[in-house]
Amino acid sequence: MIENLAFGAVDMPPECEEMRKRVRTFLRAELDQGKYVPSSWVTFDAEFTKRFGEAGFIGVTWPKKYGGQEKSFMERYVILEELLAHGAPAGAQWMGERQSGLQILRYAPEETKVRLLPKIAGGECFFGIGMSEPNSGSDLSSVRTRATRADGGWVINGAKVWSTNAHRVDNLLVLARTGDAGKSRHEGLTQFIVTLSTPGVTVSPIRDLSGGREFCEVVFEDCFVPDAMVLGKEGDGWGIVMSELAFERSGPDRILSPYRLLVELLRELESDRSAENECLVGRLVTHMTSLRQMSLSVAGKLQAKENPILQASLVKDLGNAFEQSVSEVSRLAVDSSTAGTAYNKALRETVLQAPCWTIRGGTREILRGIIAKGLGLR
Amino acid sequence: MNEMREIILDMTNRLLSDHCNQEAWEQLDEGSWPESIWGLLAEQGLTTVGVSEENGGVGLGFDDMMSIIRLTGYHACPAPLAEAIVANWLIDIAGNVPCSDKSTVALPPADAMPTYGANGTLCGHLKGVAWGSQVDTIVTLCVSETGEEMLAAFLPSKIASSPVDAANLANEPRSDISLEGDAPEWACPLPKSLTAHRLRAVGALLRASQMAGAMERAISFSLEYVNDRKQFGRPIGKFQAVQHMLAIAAEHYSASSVIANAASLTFGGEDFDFMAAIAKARAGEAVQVISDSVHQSHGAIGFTHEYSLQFFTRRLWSWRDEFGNERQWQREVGRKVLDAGADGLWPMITSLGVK
Repeated sequence: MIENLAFGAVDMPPECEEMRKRVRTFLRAELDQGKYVPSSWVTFDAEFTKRFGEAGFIGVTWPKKYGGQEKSFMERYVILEELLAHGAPAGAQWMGERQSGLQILRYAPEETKVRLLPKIAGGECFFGIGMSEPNSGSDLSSVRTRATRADGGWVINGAKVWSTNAHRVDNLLVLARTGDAGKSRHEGLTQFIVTLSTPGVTVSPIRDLSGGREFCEVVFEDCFVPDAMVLGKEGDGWGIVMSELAFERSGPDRILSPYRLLVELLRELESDRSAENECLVGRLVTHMTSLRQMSLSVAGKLQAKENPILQASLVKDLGNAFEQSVSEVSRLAVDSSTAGTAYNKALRETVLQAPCWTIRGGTREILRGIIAKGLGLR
Repeated sequence: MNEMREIILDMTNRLLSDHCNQEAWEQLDEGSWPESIWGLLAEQGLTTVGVSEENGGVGLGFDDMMSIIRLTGYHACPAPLAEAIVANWLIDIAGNVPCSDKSTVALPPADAMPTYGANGTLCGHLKGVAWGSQVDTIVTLCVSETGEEMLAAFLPSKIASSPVDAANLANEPRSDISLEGDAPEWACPLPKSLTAHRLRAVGALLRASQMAGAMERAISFSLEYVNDRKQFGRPIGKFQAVQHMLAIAAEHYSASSVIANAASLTFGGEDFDFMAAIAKARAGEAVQVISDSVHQSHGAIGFTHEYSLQFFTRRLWSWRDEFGNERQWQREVGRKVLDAGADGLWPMITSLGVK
């Protein structure tokens, strides 16, 4: 029931401020040296990611023996939110750091952990997600990409779609059917790490309405994957995918997507201090602050090794609603024809990107169903 | 203090649970003062939880006080326990002993504070004082002739004028009180750490905390109802439209609850006023969505007087307008944010509550 919703108080240990200072120093230097131009965090910049990894900011919660630093989820949160607030191009490292690396850490054979994790932490090895298919979106367990047993591994046939940055990353985490779906419909699925340079893989970027070509279709034709690149055991796929949802859904990237626009909005309104504008700004910051507290609380639960799928779903849905409201509020408060270039650029990008936020990473409708179930609605 | 907190919270919850029920709520709705409930609360020392131990209280920290206050919302306590807790806390801070446990706070806006004259009397108007005619002591903000912010306590039974008694939408008593040269029991300058503005923020957080409790209760009723109520051969909670409606309500409740808790933890630091403003603004805004969802999911039965839901939604509709509505507090937040400038936003947000 409603008690299931308990978020818990946020506890930011003092190390968080230390980490924040370090990340800010790094990002400021990058900006001062013109190494990147602030934009959306999805921007793929392999060079930036390498520098960021070398500076020790990727995979910080992982064990030291795999290239991590055994730091807390709260310190990790600080790194992520600073990246977003500074408009840093974190696209290359995002999936690997947020979920794939964690899955490898938890479920991959030792030799794969040793080979891949330090490279991810070093900002040199990039990941994408291969879950959705043309006929399987929200109904993920209906995937038809098939993996059949071969000598020393598996052979994959099928197609994945909407894989962000598949045309630029090294590996894709692929959910494929290896057996019968069974009574629960969730059996017979297995997670594979597919190296995209393997023969039989064809990646085609798809142009989106904002003009980008970030996500892709990936077709597998008799693509071989060795045993060492299987996560967990055959048939563990569904459980593994479910276990990463709390990580995928609760972070600052679910509440801060239009942050650049918010900043430019403030810049425009600094010289237009009507009561209406002050209220409008106050309302946006009220939402952002409360969402941040909720998101931090989820990070605390991850730190405590809980699986806060309910809270994560809630944060993402409420966060996305806030995110999508920012451009709608801004455009009525500011006259675009007299506004600055930075504002107009941020507004354009935000309006065109906004529809995808409630679709990717768990649609609004699916999330609300999860929340309802978590509240005990039968 | 953690153990003590758990014990007191538990006791408060049980006491309120036992006595705050349909009968009690209806009694208040019909205008009668719940002497028996009040007696029990006072007996257990709940009205002085914020008073220091050496002065006979429990000495609970500010955030724990707000946790108890949240319970008064959860149980729709038909008595000014929340107000008395804060009033007695203030009386203690001002170095005085509570004259009686029945007290309330008045926190007038900056342009409406009564003046405390050089002759030691109060002049001014206090609007909508919660339980003003039912309590023995009213603690109020006032301002000296030289502009110094002060705190004063007066006994409504001793003042010259008669109050104008009214009620909010939940029929909780609210009185307009005229002070016409009345002598308070005491008056003193506000302590340095507690400006009038900060006290108004305390008032805002008091209501925000109560609102979080009432939201939780109203949504709980709804969850139970939609699992029981069957139409078209199944519980209405199985319908996606109903599920999504309550999921959304839960989201807004969670945001309100989380930020109210977070704000209470910042008391004593420089971020408190800002966080309390955010908490009241967030809770205020959440009321429409939540009251809509809880009433809609209950259908006609939830619209009746007999069904308990309305005791909670009428309180939410009332409390969102008390101690500042969301517009006023949003403006407060926005003003501070715009003063800090566009590039000041991130440092501001990330330093909130950091010790």
